[in-house]
Amino acid sequence: MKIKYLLLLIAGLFLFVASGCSSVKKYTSTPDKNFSVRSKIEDKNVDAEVYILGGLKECEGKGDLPALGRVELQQGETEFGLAPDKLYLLKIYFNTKNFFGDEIANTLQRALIIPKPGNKYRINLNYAEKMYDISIFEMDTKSSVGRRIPIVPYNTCK
Amino acid sequence: MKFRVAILAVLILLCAGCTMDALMSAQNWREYIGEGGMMTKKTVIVVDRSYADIGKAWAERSNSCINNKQVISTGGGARTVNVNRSYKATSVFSKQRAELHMQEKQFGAGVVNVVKEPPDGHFFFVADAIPLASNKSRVVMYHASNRDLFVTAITNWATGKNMGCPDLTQM
Repeated sequence: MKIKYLLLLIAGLFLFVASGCSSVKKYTSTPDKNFSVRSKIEDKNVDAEVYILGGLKECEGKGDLPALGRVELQQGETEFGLAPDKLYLLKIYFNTKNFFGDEIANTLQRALIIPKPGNKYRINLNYAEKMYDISIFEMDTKSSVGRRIPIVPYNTCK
Repeated sequence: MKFRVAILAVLILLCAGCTMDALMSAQNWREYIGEGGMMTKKTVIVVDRSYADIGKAWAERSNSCINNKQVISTGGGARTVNVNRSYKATSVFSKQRAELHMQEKQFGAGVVNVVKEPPDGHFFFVADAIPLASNKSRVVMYHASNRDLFVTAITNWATGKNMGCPDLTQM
């Protein structure tokens, strides 16, 4: 009997470790996938992550916004949806890993965004030669006109 | 016993050396490098752009890429001392030139600040764009010798060649 519990415990531990010990939930997208992320990273020791926070009607001071989860980035392009007219904080990380694959440091860019109804957004994440570039483009689907929008850091939310 | 006294004496001497004040202003930093300060460099380039345009690019990019940025060391095992860093960039405009000053502050467990430094951290990079003609400027960068990544970024922003941000974790 004890061996059975021990085996269950070992199996549980194995699953926990295999899942990356991560307690961060996956972001549940809205049905309308109005955002896409294109990442181009030319450094094998660096990867990118995008976290979504907020989903509120308005900015509520400098306190922490509720975390909604992590977008699972795929090779090439990843699509997800954010509800229009709500305020979101995107936390975009470039993680540096050591020889063993352990994360040793990261650089973070915060961006506040309120998606407009009917618009599409594209986030480009580029990393090469220790330099990174994050750009967000907004496209009006009616007029097919797109423009690069400024990245608004979180600390301007007052 | 003599050995212990010797070690104590060495420690006192080292600490005495550490209690000097850090460079408290951008001008101090320029002067220190001008006098051949240790582990520092002065890099000069000429850019075909007005100093005002260079200054605008520096202000916008440094605000986005440097200001309020923190580098948090997240791992490395029990033997590693985690040193976290925060950054501040300040843009200064005048009729004579555009300037960009950058400061770094170290914090976290294991960081002992034995040197008095400005509240936003020590200066490690100062760049001046000085007009040579209406569309030509001399860019002078005063920097620590291990900050080549910043030289690349500040040069790129000045020329407009690449407006990407330096990865602060790579320094």
